[in-house]
Amino acid sequence: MTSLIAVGGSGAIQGGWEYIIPAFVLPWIFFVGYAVYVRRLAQAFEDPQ
Amino acid sequence: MGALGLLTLVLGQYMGLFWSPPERMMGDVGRMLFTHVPAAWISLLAYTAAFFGALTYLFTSRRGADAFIVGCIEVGVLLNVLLLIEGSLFAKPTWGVWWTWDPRLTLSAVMLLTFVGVLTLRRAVSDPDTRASWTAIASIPAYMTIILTYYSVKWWKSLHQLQSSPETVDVSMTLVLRLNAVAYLLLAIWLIAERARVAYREAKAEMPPLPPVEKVT
Repeated sequence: MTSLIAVGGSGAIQGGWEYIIPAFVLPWIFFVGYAVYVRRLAQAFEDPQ
Repeated sequence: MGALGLLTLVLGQYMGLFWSPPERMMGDVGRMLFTHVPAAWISLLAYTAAFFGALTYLFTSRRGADAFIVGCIEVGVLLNVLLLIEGSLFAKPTWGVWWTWDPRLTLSAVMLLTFVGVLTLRRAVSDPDTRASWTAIASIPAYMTIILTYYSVKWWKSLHQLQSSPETVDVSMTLVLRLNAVAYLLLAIWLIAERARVAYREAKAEMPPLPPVEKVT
């Protein structure tokens, strides 16, 4: 069984940028991706007037 | 508003990565809170807005309210997925695992599945009025998952930390956290408004054409 206290309270966790960078990039992918999806939906239901 | 949201996000992320100091126990990994926590806050806020939209629809039957619910739930789901992925990224270096069946984590996943269920139910109904009514009715019990998720860390033993307060967090971190939350909020409002506009057009396109007006002679 994987230990949930693999990192104890013994001090700062070193590094971790392999987790930090994706965490900061993901919001951009989500927000921009959804905005593109909504834009495409809007084009499909373009008001004829 | 979208551009303002993106600009705020650039500034918030820059400050989160380079301006804010590393967290005392977690080091640089603590910076992930600047993206993870706003996703949670704004996701819950979007679902809460959907709940009030549902009440509005049930009392007024306005198509605008139904379109608003769609926007809120979709954006809520979007941020809920982001929240879970970022939570998983945060859990690995801090807890040593990607996922655990902790009450907060499990209820966040249940919350997501519940609202995906509401959207799925919506797609299954073809009549626009019935669809709008069912969406509103289903959104109300679905809101229970928000309350459960929010209070899960208080009601049950949880590995997830309790809600922080500004008194326990350094100002250099609360400022960055709030800036990122404002960015998420602006983007969420913009996306909800855009999606609601499209949903309203969809509903209009589905409405049967009006009968021809008879000439009065």
